Amino acid sequence: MSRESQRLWEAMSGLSDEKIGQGAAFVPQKRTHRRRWMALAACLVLVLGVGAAWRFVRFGANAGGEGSEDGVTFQVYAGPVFPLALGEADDAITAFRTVTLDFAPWEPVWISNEEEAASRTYLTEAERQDVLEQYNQWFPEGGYYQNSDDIRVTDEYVLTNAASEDRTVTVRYPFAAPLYSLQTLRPSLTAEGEALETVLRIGAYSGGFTGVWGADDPGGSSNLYQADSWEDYRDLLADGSYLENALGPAPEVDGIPVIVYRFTDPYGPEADEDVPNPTLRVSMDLDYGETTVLSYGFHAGAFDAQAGTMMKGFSIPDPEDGGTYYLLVLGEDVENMAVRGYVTGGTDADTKELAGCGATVERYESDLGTMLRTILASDVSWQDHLTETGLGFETCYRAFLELFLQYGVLSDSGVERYAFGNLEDYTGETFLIDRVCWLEGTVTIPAGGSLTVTAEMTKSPSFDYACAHTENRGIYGYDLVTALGSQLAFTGQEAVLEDRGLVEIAFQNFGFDLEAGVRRVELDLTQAHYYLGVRRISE
Amino acid sequence: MEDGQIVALYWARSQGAIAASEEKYGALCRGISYNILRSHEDAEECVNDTWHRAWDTMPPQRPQSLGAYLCRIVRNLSIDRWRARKSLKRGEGLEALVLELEECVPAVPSAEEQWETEEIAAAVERWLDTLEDRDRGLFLRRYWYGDSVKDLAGRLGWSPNRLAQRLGRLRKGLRRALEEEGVSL
Repeated sequence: MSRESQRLWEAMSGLSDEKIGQGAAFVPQKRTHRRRWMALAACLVLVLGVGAAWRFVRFGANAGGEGSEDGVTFQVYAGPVFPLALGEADDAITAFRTVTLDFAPWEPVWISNEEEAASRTYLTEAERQDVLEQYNQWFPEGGYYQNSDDIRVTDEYVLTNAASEDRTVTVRYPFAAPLYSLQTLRPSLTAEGEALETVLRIGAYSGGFTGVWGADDPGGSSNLYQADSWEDYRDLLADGSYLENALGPAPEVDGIPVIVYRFTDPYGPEADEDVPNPTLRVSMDLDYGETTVLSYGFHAGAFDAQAGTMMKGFSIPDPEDGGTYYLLVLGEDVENMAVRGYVTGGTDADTKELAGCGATVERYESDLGTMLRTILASDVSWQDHLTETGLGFETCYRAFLELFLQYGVLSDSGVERYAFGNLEDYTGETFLIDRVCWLEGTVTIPAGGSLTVTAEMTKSPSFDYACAHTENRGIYGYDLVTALGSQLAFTGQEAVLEDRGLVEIAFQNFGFDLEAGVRRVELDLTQAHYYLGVRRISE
Repeated sequence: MEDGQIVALYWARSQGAIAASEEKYGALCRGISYNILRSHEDAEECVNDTWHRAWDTMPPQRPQSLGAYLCRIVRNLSIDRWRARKSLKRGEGLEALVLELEECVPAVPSAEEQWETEEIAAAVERWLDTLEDRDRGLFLRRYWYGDSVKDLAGRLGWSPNRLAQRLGRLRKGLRRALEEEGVSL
């Protein structure tokens, strides 16, 4: 999203009380039955008119050259379909690839009001009945149609072994996905139709960082910059180091000594009108060049490197909520640590102190690995992520460490986003950032024979948010790369489009021609990237 | 309870003010916050913070419209929290709402004068005054209160597509209005 639209959104907070009140009082009214029919008739005329005009404009735009390889970019880029790779190059093995892009998920699915209500499993039965009544009112026809913009991709490889002996080889199938989407986007691999046993290899963050204010903040690194073109993936995978890192051993921080300050049983007066937010502040002196402080559970902070002071704070929870808070000191220990209560979490100089506050503070020595594991193991949201993704602790811990060590306060290339040393900044993002992952398995290709390896997956579209770029309005993009990251010797590649009469092509470089019935095309192996932009024919 | 009575309770430093605010405006404020944050837990905290903020600011404030006052507080607090959280869940909450407004960003290349936030709001306000009641209500419900298209459409008895088209035309209208006023964002 742009800074401008965000500014417009925020500026609207300044609308007058009168307008805000009008919005609050606005009650959408359904029309009477008769008027609904009249409105429907008018709507049909309107839709027909708008549709015709829109289609004309789109064809005009296409005729102007839209769809060139460099010209198609989307705000949300799902990443390309990558080719299968071998663990090691093998001259005896060749491959023929057939990629099928199937729009079956675009078929509208009828969701009845009963199904909608039943899906709210977190509600009581009475509340579900309320939901059902509401939906029956909204959709008196008994339900509504739901569409998906995902497609099914079948990426098939016929591997041929020209050698006189069987070849057992490692195959790796790459795909782009954040950890939280793995359950949906992870392909399934088969060999000769039988499920292939695979190991998941997870790459590090595939994007970078950018400033908050775009061109006005060229050196900034507070926002994520997720890969937004196939070229980003090309650059990422070009020298092999990204894959090498994913295959290599996990980073190790067990040998890094830390001094632990553990705060438990915080207490203080209850909040009231004079004490809106009882807060504990931990202040300390340190040499910023010699000491790094990581925190967990603290959400307030003040930093003055020149004066050599630091403050970290947290709101005092209700006694029954408890909580454990950590400061991990790396390097020289901090000095003059003091724990004081304040009436609010603000760090203004005139914030009033609050008597009767404190916590149990323990100081002990440990190592960074032990402490990170301890903290993550007790973090509720971390545990939720493990459950949701179905991944093990060690897999996610490694992903956490890679993000932490590459971009955090211990890194020479640390970014503004993680400058405050809050461990919570990494825990959620470990699961949200984009990555390239691989499914790795072993297959045996018979001497002089062939073996078919197939990857099947759900592929999300690339798209623009709600018409931010009008040239991509309503268009969903899907793309593939022919050779990136693969050392397989391809004898040929072809692509098949199963459009199912649901889409029309807005732009492409595949060569499909739906009117002429051309739905299977041979791909040029010298062409690195193929793309397809489609729009739905009708709702 | 009338707004004036609730404001009087704040001025009297009566804790009943918060209870009355919660009773009268709690659901509305929760809805605004949830539409931005998509987290019931975060929305709850923002609403609680709203009562604190209201308590800290009345007195000296004596808002003419308590509802608008509280709604504005909870909206701003929710935006702040969203920004702090830097949510990456695409297409959800505030991000989706703001992205729809991309279409309204005028194409004025480089206006010499940087408009202040109040002036932008004033321009939007003037444009809202040109709309019919229903369109004005739809725009405010969607982009100020963050109501979902599906929800609004259902209450109107419209299809979501029809409402989306209507909102699209309103966004274009706002864009034209901002461009005509030379607003630079």
